[in-house]
Amino acid sequence: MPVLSGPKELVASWRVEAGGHVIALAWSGCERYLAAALADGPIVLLDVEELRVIREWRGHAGGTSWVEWRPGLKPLLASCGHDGVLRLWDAAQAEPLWEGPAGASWVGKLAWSPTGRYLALGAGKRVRLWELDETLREARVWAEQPSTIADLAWRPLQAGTEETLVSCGYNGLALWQPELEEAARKYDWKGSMLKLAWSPDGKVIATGNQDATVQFWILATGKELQMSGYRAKIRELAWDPQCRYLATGGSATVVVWDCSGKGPSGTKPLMLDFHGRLLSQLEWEPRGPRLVSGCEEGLVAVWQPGKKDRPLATAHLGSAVTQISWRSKLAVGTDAGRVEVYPT
Amino acid sequence: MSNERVPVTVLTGFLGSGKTTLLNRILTEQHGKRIAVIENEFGEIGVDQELVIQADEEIFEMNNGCICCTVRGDLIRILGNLMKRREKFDAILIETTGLADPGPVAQTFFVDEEIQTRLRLDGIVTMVDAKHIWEHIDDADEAKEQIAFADVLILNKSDLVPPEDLERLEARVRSMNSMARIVRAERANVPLETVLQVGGFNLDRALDVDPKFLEPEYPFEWGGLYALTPGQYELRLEPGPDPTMDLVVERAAGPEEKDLRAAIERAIAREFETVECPGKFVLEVTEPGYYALFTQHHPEEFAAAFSGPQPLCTAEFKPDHEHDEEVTSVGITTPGDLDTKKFNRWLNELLQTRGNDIFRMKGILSLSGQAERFVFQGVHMLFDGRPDRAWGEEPRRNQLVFIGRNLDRAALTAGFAACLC
Repeated sequence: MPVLSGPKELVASWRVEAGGHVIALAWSGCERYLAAALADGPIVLLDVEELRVIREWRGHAGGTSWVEWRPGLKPLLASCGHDGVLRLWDAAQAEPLWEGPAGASWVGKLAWSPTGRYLALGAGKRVRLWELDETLREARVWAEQPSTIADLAWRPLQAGTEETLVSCGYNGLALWQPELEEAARKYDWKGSMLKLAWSPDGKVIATGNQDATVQFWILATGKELQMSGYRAKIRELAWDPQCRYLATGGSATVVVWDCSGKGPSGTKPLMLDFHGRLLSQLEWEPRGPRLVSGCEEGLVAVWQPGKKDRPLATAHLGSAVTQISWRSKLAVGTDAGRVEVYPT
Repeated sequence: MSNERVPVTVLTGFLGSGKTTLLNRILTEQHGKRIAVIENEFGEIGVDQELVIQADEEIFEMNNGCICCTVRGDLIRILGNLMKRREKFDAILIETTGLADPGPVAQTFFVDEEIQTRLRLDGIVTMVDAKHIWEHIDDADEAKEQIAFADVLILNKSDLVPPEDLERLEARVRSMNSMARIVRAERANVPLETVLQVGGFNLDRALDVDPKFLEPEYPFEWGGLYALTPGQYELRLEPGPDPTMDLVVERAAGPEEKDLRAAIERAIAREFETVECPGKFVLEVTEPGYYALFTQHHPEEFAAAFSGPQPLCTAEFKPDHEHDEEVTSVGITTPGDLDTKKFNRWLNELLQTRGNDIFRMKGILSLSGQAERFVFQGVHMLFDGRPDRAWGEEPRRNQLVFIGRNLDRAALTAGFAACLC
């Protein structure tokens, strides 16, 4: 008689109350530090080896919107928010290592290039580029776009190609390269694109849109593919590191498109049902094959799409999951400020 | 975390209408409420407030098959962010630019699930500069839109305008928007409750208006019911606002107001008699009984004198005047049940073809086979409705209002009537 085995319960190895809605959660390159930025402003720095909060940086007055560690082992964190200032923090210091004008009072996103040489900012309607050499200096202030920049993403590093960035907002995508004054390419699209995800092989950009569709942009051919039927806007998209699947939000079901072979066009996606309420986060483990999903009810589920259509493991955090970051450990943040770390 | 959705009020009105004065009052008065304000980029809010956020209007279109709408994307972004803050707000005020079309702001609250979970659109408040509105009201589409979309119309600077002009303004905006509450103010001194917690988009209060404003419009303003014995009667008319006046007489079943009203339907089917003013209207009565006399204008306007007895009862009706108005309200009140399929088809067709010209609609419907009232509201092509309480003992009937541009009252009324079972 087969034994019905339900999902394992994920057990947190560490739980911290960070004190506010976790708007960004990032593992440092060395994986010793976990930065939890709060929507209200403060950035809480957790030391996972010592299991304690080692810093509470003041972040940005009026609210912090995003933080990201520079690629590499040196723990250097860039942060942005609603005070018009870009800041760099060193884990070893309480005060910012560096700060400069971000160029707009609403900076929703920043992203380090894969080599760590460049830092891109979505500052109001412009993408602005900083270059880190001895110090951080502004390298480009690109032309104003039709709307406030909603998201930014660098292309995963491809041998022999320039570092390339994509930005989105309303009415189009733009591709940027540091050595070019103008956008390298532009795609027009009527509507609001909220989230970007670049396929690991750099060939396809997926966008999650306000009108409850997911769009694929195939760079080599300029072709587009649209998937609809979602319940709500798609705020979360994640490509599988093996470049086969795209996991998408926009409902309570995790919808996973198989992009292998001829691509997802005309195919039925995997429908992973577990969450009762709208998804809020999706992230794959660093080299696959597992995927983690979080939702507005505070449930977390770990899956192996394509292998099993039930969760492998679950956790319940008590309030809406807002951020997830998976390196060698899995970190989850909530709207109530809880941060949990799980060994995986 | 509270499950109460935070109410959002939209404040609109031309530059100089007094919006900023009102906003400053709301922000500085000691009312104990935490209110966040999202203002347009060029606003000049005097109070240095942490709760004031600048927004640069960013609009995009959403097209979901047959439904098309325009959305304030910047509001989705800003409101989404506000809801992430620890600071909880009792209300949020969105101030639009002077020339704003309130449509996109309203539609934003219909289309985003994240917004709908945490926020609810409470009302649109329009400030009208009573002194200077006349310069805009005939030409500026924005002025008309702002008036048409309002749940509350504040006629500001009322102290700077002669009373007759105020009356005229009130009648004019009333003819455009029959649903809004009209309030007069000096220096924007309206109480907070007038502006906040208005419930303009609350389906539970689908038609929380003075029923008089929903009355169907008739070609006459006045009716009187008389008990008459056989004989000849005269109604003498002196010179008045018009060179002629139309009248009609209809038999009534009894002496009460309900009999007078029941006579209306029969009266409109008759041919009216046009009498010159000054002049007289002669009525020949052959059988004793109750007679209802309906006049196009109020008899007082012509110093009318009737040779017969005093009326048993009288009634006044909303006049169906030709205002030469581009923006109007069409109210439909009909008893009976709707064939849901027919109604859906009719409404779909209407919204698809005329959606851009229909600013707002609201109503209560009696759907055949449904024990509950159905309440709905809409902005342009966006429609939101749900079952409400059971009809129970209440007589089943339909009440709806459309506010829009170049509305064809006859076509709407006939089209709706054709959907009845």
